[in-house]
Amino acid sequence: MNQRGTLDIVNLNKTFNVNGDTTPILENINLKVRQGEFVSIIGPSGCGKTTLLRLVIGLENSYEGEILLDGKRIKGPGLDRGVVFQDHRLLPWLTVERNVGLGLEGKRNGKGMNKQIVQEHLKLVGLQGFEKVYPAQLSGGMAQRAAIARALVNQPELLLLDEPLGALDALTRMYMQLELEKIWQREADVTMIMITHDVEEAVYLSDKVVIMSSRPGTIKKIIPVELPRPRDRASYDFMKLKEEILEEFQLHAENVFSYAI
Amino acid sequence: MSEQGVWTMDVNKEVLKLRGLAVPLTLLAVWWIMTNNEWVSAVFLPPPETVAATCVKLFLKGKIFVDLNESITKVAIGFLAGITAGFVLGTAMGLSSTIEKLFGPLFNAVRQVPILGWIPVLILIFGLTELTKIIFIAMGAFYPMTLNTFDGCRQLKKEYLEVARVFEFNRLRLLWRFILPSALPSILAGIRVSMSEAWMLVIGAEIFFKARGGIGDMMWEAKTRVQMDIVLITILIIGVIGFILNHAMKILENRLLRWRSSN
Repeated sequence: MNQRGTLDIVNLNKTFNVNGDTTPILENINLKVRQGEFVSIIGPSGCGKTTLLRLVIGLENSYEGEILLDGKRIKGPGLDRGVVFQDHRLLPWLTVERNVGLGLEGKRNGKGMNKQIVQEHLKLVGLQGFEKVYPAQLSGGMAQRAAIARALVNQPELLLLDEPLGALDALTRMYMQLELEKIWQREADVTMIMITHDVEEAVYLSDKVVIMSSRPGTIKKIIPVELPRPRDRASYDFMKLKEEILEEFQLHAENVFSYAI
Repeated sequence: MSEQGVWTMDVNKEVLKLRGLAVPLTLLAVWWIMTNNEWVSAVFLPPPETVAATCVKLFLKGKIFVDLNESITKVAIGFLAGITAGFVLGTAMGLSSTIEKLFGPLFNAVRQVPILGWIPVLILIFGLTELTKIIFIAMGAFYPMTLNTFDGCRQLKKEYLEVARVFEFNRLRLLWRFILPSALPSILAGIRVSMSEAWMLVIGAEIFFKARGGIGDMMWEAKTRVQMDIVLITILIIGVIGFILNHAMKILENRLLRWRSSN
């Protein structure tokens, strides 16, 4: 029980049936995530990384193998997992405050208690003063902050982020990476798993980077990132790691460092 | 000098607001010229000042308020009954495809019959009673409300359903927090259309079902006695009340759907 937020994926296989044909989507996935770890999953489009995340969320149900959260098999969505989607998916008809408090509505905490929890989370993501604002009035970055707060309000063991910053512009994105790291440090018990396309983002935030390859989706390599935090994007070690990952996708330029130095 | 520019713009805006009056005022002028030069007989088209005088007399006499009250009460009851039934059927069909398959074809077939086509049936079953009129009005309100509510309940995107699942929402909370709010724009539009439908049908109900009292009856009586001025006044009153109802609904919609605007 004291191992809250441990995820074990053992020999996971997932297929989709399209017009009677069985297409393998994920093959032999094995992954262990410790409590409080930040793990990024990176891979080309169509490698099944989103399907993998949706299986952990519980939005996809049939699979072979085991997906275990604290030793228990995942059968469907649950409040022990918080989710941030790429599109913020805030309800347009609710204010920021009520959106963030959405997950608390069914709980018998008492109104004052719920309000306080919402306030704490708005503070955590830097959205105090925006309680009564509707999502349509928020910028992309602010909407995504609200979505993160909404996902954390139930104190999940696992926070699952599906390309949470993918729709933001480059500068907002870097700023949000900073914020995300701060949130992760403050919510030390929460394990975070993030899908991303962005190698730099993965290296900046993660304790380990899971590299996937496509058709069928398999884990190609798991690269631990042991750089001290906060990380310096311009440091040699950072760039080296970035290059190592890019190499997996055959995307790096030859000898880029010898020119730079 | 920029101040003057701003000032000019303000004036233009004020003028723009009033441009909806331009055509009615022109028509009024044409009417006045035609009648005062006696280009048309006063029996067919009495001059505006006569109509205005009759109008004042009618309101001073006070019977018109009794008639209006009669009509508005009927509309209110029929409208409320119609939109309630429409809301229930629309929501049920929107939520359950079984109910949609059971009732959808029948509903779509029946609504092809014009409301006026039901008059003989209603008279034969219910006679020339108040109930007949109210059912007639309720039917008119029922169709647009059902259609709009049904459409609205199908508006919710799959993405939001996933959010509801992630938060383990039960059906009742899914309906209350997700489906009905996302259907609200459609539902309100349905209410607005139903309301003007109900208001239009009350006139028909009072004429066809031989009412005693009501604004439609007043119009029909005036026709029988060839009192064009009263006929025109009733038309004007019907139009103005319809306009006010529609406008009030629009204001309500804007208030309830504030979340849609991004200013």
